[in-house]
Amino acid sequence: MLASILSPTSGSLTMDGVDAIQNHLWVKERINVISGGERNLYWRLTARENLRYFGSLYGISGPRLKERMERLLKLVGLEEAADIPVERYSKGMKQRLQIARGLINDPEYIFLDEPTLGLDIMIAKEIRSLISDLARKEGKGILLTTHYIREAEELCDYIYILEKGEMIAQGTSDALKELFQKSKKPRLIVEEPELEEALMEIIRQARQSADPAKQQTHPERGIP
Amino acid sequence: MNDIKNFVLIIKAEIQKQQQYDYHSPFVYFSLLIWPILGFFEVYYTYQPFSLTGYPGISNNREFLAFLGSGFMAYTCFWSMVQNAWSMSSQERSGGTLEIAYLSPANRLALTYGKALGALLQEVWMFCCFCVFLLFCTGTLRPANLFLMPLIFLLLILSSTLWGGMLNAIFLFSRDSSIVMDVFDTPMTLFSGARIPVPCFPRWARVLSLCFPLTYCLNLIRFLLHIQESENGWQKDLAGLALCLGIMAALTFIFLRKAERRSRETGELQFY
Amino acid sequence: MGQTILSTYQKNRIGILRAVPWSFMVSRIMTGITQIIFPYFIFRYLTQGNLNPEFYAYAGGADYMTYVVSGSALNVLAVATLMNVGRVLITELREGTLEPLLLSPAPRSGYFLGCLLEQTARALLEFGTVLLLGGLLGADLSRLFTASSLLVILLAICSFFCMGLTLSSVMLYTRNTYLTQNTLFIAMSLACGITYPIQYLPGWVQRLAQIFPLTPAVTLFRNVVTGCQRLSQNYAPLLQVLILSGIYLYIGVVWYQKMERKLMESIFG
Repeated sequence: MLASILSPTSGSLTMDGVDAIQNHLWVKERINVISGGERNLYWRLTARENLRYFGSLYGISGPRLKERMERLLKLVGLEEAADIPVERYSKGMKQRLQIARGLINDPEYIFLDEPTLGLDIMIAKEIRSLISDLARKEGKGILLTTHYIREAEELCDYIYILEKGEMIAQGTSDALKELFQKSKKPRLIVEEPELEEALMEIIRQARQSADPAKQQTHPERGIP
Repeated sequence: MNDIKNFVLIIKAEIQKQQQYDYHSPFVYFSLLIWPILGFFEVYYTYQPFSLTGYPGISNNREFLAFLGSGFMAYTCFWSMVQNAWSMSSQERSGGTLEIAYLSPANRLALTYGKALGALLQEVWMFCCFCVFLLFCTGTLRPANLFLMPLIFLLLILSSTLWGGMLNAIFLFSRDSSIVMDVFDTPMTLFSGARIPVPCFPRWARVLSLCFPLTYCLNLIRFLLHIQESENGWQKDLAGLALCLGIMAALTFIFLRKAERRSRETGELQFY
Repeated sequence: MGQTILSTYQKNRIGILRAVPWSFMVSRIMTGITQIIFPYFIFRYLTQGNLNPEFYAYAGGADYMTYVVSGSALNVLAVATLMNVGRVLITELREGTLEPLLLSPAPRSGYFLGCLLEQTARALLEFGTVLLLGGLLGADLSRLFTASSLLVILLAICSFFCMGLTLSSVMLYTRNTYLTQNTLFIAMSLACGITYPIQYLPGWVQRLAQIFPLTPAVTLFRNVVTGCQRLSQNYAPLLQVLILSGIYLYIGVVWYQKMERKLMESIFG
């Protein structure tokens, strides 16, 4: 409903003060949706061809489209694989292309539907970093849906918790923890490193020792 | 002006996308040429048990081949629209790209006609070459009347694209619309005059034939090439075609709006 | 073996009942109907039954509509069986259920026989529909329910099943259904003598047509239904059907076995 795909049976919806139900085409110019998974792309087309097509749907053409495509391919780390058909991409590469597709119209608001679903921890971290930059550096409004609580904690300024379609709680990460702690007795917590953190460090060190030149935070370039 | 520019941009993007996506292997092109040729000969041999002497326009082998060649050339254009609309319905739905296209603000008519035109241009050019060659062999096409070909192709492209646009809009309604393909294709095969001259039909079949733009299109093409005179006269056929095309364009516009409204209520476009 | 046949039958039957492939069935019936109505229109409205003398010689004395209807109906049966059996493996691959099948010890022959049993009722429904319409258009099908013609239909289904096994490997190998099956069906429609005697075709096409079991099956079916002949009077087409069935069965089985090894490597390797 928020992404203007469905119209609500009741209630109202506005975006920047405009009725988003009646003016859904106006809304569509200013938003985009990025889903997890491998659909929503033309597999037989290359990344560049996909972006060219989707950019055209938003009325972008010529040098403007070309410049935007190259910038987005660089942003998501797909410049080297840009002319390879998507069907030969890994899952992580397809997800990065999804992000590039979702940014082709330079939307003001982005809906991210479980963007790190099924991705390995390094790629997932990269994508989370990208999402964070979109919100903090480029000022885009982002609605993220996720089942990974860590992801919500890391990225979100404000969290809504839904259970069976009903909103049961909302607030900042600290406010929600506060809500939890109010109902519990105080206790002493001994913290040890999380397994995810430990695994990431192990992988990072293995990659660095394999190729000391590549000490970047984009370990996956080209086809694995 | 900006709207027209965007309209053309989207049509161009659709044509380019279809060429890159659907027509990517030699085997696809092989089938686009071989299937219509095999179908053509199947119809040709179906006539062989019969004696055709005396029927105007197809009384000897040369006239008969010209009749069939022109009929098949036009029919293939319309048939390819039916196939393409069905293919769009299944492939784009399951690939999730249909819902992404409708997430954008792209003009829906441009998307629809772009799909139709893209398919038409890719699918029929080879078989049309075969039919043109056949028409040259039968003496129907000569250097003296070659100037008519652009007009004939314009007629075919315009009619087929509007027909294809309407079918694409119909297929938007439901993922189970493939039955529509049979509902449109089979009567068109039988009653449009592509394979059998319409004047020999009983009254009820002649009335049915008036529902298809292909009927008028074929009458005009055969009139222009002197293959067969239309029993109604070319002016009535032209008027009939214009009326059909107008109705199809209007229906396309209505169906697109209804389909999108329905999808916004049910989320139908996301199902496959 | 019996359990595999039964389970496959039940699995397919449940799937079909929940999502009936009306579109496929309607499409095949419409094709059959078009194959009857088009010659009917030529026969009735365009030429008013003005057949040339060669036709009667080639058709063995059968009347035109009975000739056409028997061919079209058997063609529909062939296409239905070939499609239903030919597509089973590639459908399993597309749905992601081929891996569990490959991993199981269930006999593959049982699996295919289960598929055949399940689809036979649907294929016969389509066959019957076309025959019914043909009867309404004037075909004489009074000899349809004799033991000979029922035996021919059974034999034809078996031969189409054997060819379907080979087609299934072709589809799996090419990872394509639409182009493969349609090329085959269009070629069969042209060459196998469905709506006209194959004697009208050039010699090399007639020879090529002999590789399709539909060609001798249609001849057998017509001779029994229209020519009022017994099976014992049709040794040549009968033998041809049996030999072709054996060849396609052999090719289908051997090719599948080779493909299964490669599939195992690519999926699990």
